[in-house]
Amino acid sequence: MLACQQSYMPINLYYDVAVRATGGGGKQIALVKFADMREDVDSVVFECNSTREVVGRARIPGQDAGAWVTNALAAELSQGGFRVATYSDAPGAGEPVVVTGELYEMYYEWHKPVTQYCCWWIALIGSAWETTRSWVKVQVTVEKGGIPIISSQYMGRASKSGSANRQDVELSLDKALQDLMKKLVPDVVAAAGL
Amino acid sequence: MRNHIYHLATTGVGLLLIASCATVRPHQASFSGQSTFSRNAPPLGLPVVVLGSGPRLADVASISMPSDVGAGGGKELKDVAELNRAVLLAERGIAAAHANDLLGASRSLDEAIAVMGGHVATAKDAQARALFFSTESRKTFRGEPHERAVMFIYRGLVYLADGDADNAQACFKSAALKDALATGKEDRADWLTADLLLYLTQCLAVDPNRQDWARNIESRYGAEGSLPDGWSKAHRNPVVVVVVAGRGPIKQSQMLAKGELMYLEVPTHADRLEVAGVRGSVICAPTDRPFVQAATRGKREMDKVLAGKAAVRKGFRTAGDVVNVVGGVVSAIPYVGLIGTAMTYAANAAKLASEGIHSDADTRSVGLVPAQFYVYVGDASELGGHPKLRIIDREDCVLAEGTIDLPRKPDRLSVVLARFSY
Repeated sequence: MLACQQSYMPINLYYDVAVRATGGGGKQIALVKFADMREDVDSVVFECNSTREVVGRARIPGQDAGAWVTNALAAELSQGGFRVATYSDAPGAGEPVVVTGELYEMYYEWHKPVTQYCCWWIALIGSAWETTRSWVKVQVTVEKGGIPIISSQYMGRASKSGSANRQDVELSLDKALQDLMKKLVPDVVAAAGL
Repeated sequence: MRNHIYHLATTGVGLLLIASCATVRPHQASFSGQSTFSRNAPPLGLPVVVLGSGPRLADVASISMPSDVGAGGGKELKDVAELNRAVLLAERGIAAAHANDLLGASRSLDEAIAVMGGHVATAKDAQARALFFSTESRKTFRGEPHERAVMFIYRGLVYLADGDADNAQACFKSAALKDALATGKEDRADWLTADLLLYLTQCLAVDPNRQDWARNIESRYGAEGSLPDGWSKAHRNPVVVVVVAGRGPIKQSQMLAKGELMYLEVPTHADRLEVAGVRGSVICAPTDRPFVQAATRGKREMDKVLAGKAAVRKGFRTAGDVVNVVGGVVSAIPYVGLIGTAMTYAANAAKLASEGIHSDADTRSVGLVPAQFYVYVGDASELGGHPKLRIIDREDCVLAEGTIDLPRKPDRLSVVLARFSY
């Protein structure tokens, strides 16, 4: 078990395709890179319990969290049979369906069970039930022919047993993004089919 | 034999290391997308609608827009949808307006306004609803003042397109009044967009023939030299052009400090609007930036409540830490050790309770609130049948261009709506 005080731990953002999207049929979708609106774009806020006290930041040096979300959506839609074009600032002329968005929250929390408040040996036993919780929050807009079809906030959450080490943080964020995609991809597919 | 075991062990460790290295994945957070805006790039198409004229461009009402954010995971989705109903209605209403669906827009915006504006939260009311162990987002979404103002501006435009100047006037007045609710006078923002449109409708309402409204504007605003470009040129066949650009402010809770609501500005490429008619073109600066309206309004009553909750949480934890230490010392003293143990348990109970106090601000927002409003009022005869709208950036590049297909009814007011998202 690593201590909460282990701050500025570097992590690697990755994503495993999780949604079995269908219905693409070669339709074209343009994705504009999600803008990362977070205050510190080089790290993920990392907390202990739910006391809202920053105990550290998992660093993501040289990585773009907005691109991470965009690439995940592109991978899901490509898997579903869509032809995906990605843009950095705005879609090219004549793109029929355009997805834009902003990433504005990315958190990782490490929850110790309530036994932490008991005597040391109960706390030690309780440490086996430590859990982690992470979430990713985005605002997504889908336009068709320039008309907004969907504009909604989406939040992906992941809760799992784990601690504060690198693998747990990476896996937890991966799961949170998968949860987000499970909500977002069906809506994008539905909007594209209209 | 010992060497053999040593080699086996080192080989095993080596294989394990290789295996662990093989599972390290390359990060997937780099981007290699194309760039659209450049100096020589052709402009994008700007979707332009003349409200109430021409076909409906999309059936926005048939799409369900889920929004389960902010109400917490414990709530049933149905309840969450009910809490967020105003968000969905507001977004559907704005989307329907841009899709030239007047009926759909008026229905959705009316419902959204009923939810958002039906109840004005006073300081006492806000405190009563801010339950100690609950988050702000577990209440019905009613929007912030800038969101409510935008709702009323859109509703007014739909009324205007329907030829109902009186109700349009009431809506623009309501949009302006949304700023009157700020506690401090210095925090009350001014919506130029609402003011200009309100003035326009006032002119329309006082003149039954609707011919002299432009002269009224000239005499009231133009005499003071404060009338924006284009307004003084409108005479007989008024055309109201409202162009919105970019994305509105994003709400964020200062979870790590006092919980209060803060706004993040989403940058837009748009810098100005050009309206080009047969008799030349007019450059319009933005009349409003909702981020500025939102961010300059000072603290909400709810922010004070959240700050109080954050302070209590911190106090509980600090007190818990202190009592914990004292209890530990006391428990080591003979005869009073039990008191020390009790103090330790009480301290930990206080710390446990502090974890349940949530001071997060509500970050639900209406996603289609724009970053900028442009308003232009001109004369149809001077604009010609197919005037052009151009969005221009700071480097004089035309980012998007659209054409207005004005209807051939010279005596009717035309309301033109366009949206540039980037």
